[in-house]
Amino acid sequence: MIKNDFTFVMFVIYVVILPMLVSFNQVIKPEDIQMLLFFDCLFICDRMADLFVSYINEHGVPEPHLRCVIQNNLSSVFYIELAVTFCPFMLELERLSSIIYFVIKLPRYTRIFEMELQIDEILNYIGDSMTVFQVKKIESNLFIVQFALQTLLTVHLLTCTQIMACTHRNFD
Amino acid sequence: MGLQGIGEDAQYDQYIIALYFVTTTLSTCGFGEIAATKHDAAEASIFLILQFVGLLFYSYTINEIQMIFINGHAFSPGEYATAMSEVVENLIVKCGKQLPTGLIQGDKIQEWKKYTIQYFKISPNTFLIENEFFQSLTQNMKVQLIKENLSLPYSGSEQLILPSFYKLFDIIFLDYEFGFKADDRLVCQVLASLSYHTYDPNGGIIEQKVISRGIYFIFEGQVEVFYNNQD
Repeated sequence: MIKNDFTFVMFVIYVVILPMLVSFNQVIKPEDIQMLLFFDCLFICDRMADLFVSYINEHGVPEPHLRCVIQNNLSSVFYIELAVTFCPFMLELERLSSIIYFVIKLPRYTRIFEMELQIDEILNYIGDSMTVFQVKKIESNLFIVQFALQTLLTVHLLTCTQIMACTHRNFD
Repeated sequence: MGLQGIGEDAQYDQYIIALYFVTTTLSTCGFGEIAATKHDAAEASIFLILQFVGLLFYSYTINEIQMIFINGHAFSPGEYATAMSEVVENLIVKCGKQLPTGLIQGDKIQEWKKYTIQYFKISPNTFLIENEFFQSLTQNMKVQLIKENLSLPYSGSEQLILPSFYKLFDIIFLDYEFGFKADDRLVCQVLASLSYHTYDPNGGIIEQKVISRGIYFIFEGQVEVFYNNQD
């Protein structure tokens, strides 16, 4: 749970920072690339770690075979993360237009819609010693936070897209 | 872009102006002082996309705000208590047992009980599944709710009925994988098929070579197994 919460906080920071970095410059600065690489490593490690999360098999016990666990956890989300992380390396990273870099990284934004799972995880963790009424109250508050976060990040993303459009047209 | 271009100011101001433009577009206000440059197809295309996203975003946001108000209003402690008693009644009726008198207070609940039993007779399988409040809960919360309500203190003869049910539910839901992972319908079906029996100390439960019609959970006493291998 702590791993997922940490990754989510880092993701929120990333979603705020990345559009700002790419929207004001036509080409990403080398020092910014290093910072963005750190986030790339973090997110790909998170997806890799998720591959090893066991599941309950048809016999009602956690699946003991690693191969089956990995096969079960391989999903489109993992492949998207792979593509998003490694695609910029196939292009010339230091001369890569920021708009292309942004478009490649955009699918990662879908993580924001995984927040409901995050809320369920938090409720399961803290809700053991609470009544359903208390859990429901916390849940409704968390949903407000989720809504506010999704709205603000989407508006931020669109705002930076507008700036990016101007930057790449030399503010005509 | 238009009369007050986004690119004419410092980065901070650019961001504020762009934010203002996006917000007015998304909220469908669109004051018009910032607009696409005339005869510029590229800018117009970007704005078209923004407007389309704005429409989706606007409807989604309004819907979410409504849901926050509706959910926030619908879950006051009083309504929660009513909903809980309904769920308990549902569960007990579904399990084919009489409602404890301690839960029946006032005519409305009596009327509701009559209606509930009628409904249960018509469509027992969908009865619990269609309970809106119950369905709005997650699987864990359903289990917790059942346990909360069945562990309430009761007096007199009701003690004979409810603790036994509580124990049965406990046995099932202590098994984490079943209680938390099983399909709702399966949980409902298992709950519906539970019944409480007391056996004579000298009597038998199942005979050898006879296929049993059910499974048994022992929560009081002991069971001895005799095996006859003479034939």
